[in-house]
Amino acid sequence: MYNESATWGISSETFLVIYVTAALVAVGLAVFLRSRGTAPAPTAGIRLDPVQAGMLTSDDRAVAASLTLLRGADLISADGTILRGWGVADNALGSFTRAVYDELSSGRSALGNLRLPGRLQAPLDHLRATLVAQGLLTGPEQKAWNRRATLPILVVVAIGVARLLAGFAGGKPIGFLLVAVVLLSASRELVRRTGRRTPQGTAELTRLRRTHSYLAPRMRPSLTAYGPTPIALSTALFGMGAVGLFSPGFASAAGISDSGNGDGGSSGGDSSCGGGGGCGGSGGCGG
Amino acid sequence: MTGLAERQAALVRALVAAGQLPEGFDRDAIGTASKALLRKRSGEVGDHLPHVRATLGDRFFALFAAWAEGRPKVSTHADAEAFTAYLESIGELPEQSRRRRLFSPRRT
Amino acid sequence: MTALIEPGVGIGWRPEICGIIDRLDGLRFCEVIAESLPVRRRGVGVPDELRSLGVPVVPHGISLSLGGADGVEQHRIDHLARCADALGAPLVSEHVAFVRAGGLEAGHLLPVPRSAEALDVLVRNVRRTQECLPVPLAVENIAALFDWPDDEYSEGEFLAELVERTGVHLLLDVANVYANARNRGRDAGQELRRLPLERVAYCHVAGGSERDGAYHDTHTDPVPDGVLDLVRQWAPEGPPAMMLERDGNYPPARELFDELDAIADAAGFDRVTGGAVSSLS
Repeated sequence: MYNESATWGISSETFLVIYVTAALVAVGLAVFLRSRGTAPAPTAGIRLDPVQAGMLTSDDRAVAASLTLLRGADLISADGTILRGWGVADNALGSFTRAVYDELSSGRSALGNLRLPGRLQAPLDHLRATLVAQGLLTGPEQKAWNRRATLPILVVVAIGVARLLAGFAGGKPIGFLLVAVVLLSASRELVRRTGRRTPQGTAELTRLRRTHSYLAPRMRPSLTAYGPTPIALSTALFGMGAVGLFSPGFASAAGISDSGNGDGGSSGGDSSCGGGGGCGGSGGCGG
Repeated sequence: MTGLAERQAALVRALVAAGQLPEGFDRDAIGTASKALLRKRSGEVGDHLPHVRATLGDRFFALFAAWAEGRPKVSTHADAEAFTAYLESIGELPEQSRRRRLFSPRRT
Repeated sequence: MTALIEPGVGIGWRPEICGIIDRLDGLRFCEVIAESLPVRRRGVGVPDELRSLGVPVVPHGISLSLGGADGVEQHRIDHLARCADALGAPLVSEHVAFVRAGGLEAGHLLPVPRSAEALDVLVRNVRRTQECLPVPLAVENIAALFDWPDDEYSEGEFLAELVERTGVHLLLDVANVYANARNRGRDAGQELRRLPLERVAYCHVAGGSERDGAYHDTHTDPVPDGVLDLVRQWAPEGPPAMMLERDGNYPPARELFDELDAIADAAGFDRVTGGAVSSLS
């Protein structure tokens, strides 16, 4: 029914109904398009080293894993002082960790400011590119795709804004429509946002945490028993809690908080062991 | 029955609370046992306060032994709190480590 | 009588090395410190990493104070019982020792006098504990750095009498027999043979070191040859299950596997490290 006084000749109620329908369709379409952009499944049997595993969570975590390797292998002290030269055997620790070591030994960076932007940019970029190629992290292509997927939403938002302006100029109420446009714009952000990991990357991280639960800080994994590499994996997956067990103060010297994912450190409270032993058994002194 | 209870109490006092050594026990052997108990207790408190132990290094045990003299253990947690307070009062511990000092090794 | 635990090699389960323990495909059984299992609303919590091993697990208490004349506390017995339930354990173990007296905690296991009076106390406390447990109880002989002046019985007689009056089983700590013999200048093998070995449910094997002029059963050192010798002497008679007890200062995985192999070889058991890979990632 053509209404003389309504904006564009459509009443606000009618327009709102059409608009909300169109908005829902647009969001559905955008989400569908977004899902079509997922990276192909990675090759089976990927084995990530601790630094790569750390990269799944954040750049910081990758650096933390490297620092754990260096500390666990006694290449650096608790405050970042170089303890010995890089030996041939240390090459097993990988090129990224070597880059971290070189940065520390060059004197350019202290332990606490390694994680400042720019210090390790090139090695981090290389590391990231490797994981993008493996389909575990999202890359620039993924980001571009997700941006393009929001096109339907943008179109409907544009129509809504035009209607708002026209309605406002004509002195019409625009309250509900404004809310709809705002919500739609917010949903655009959700579609556009690209997470760090691909679904495969998240699945791999979850799998790693599950199969290596024995390395969680609450298990107090022993550096002397496992060796530096598994302990670095503990850092990569769970944060610096395990490092604090053999090098208290190192985490804070590195400017990295002890806990990660709520698994680092432990809650307070007395150990429930009574007189018999330090929860360790009956050995020792008098008995 | 009460005889044994009292004698056990006297022995424990001698071992951990600087009590008088009961009759008939080998003084040296009791001394060794007492030292071992102290070392164990200090190890437990050290596990509870890894930053403090790392800060004090070799002096941790000596300081703990001095503090623990005549102060029997109630619980490791109580030991840790009281020992930390003592260290702060004699200026051995900078205030800034207060936040990180209490670290319980287990959730149990 | 079927054994409570089938003869073979086991280990004390510790979270610090649980990833390494998980690699011991042939492991026959485990022991876990009862006080380390957290109390939950219903029963006690068992770590997944322990449960998933799929072997019998024995909860081992360290703070019950069975030898204490002040008696045993009900809540501690209850905790042991709940551990046994949660683990589906074949038995529970504790110590022939006391850990508190006169309101003071000793902080460790102390020997009881080997007297009639102490035996009465032990019998009473053991019986009371047995009544509340859903499974049999085994008690462990401890290493003592000193003796009471009024010991009447030998350790063998004392334990035999305890077994006779309560039907309790024994957890024989071979390293403690070695430690006590060494510190008193006696022959460990003879001391071992004087104990009621037929009543032993399983055994501890552990390491120690000399300090302040005495041998300490620390559980944080390698197992000395003298302890393995005792196991070897026992081997021809078909010894009970043996477990390695290590509480800290953990060695690299490879060394741990070597120690387990040494115990297996000494006892004449199958090695449990067959499939274990010592390099972990």
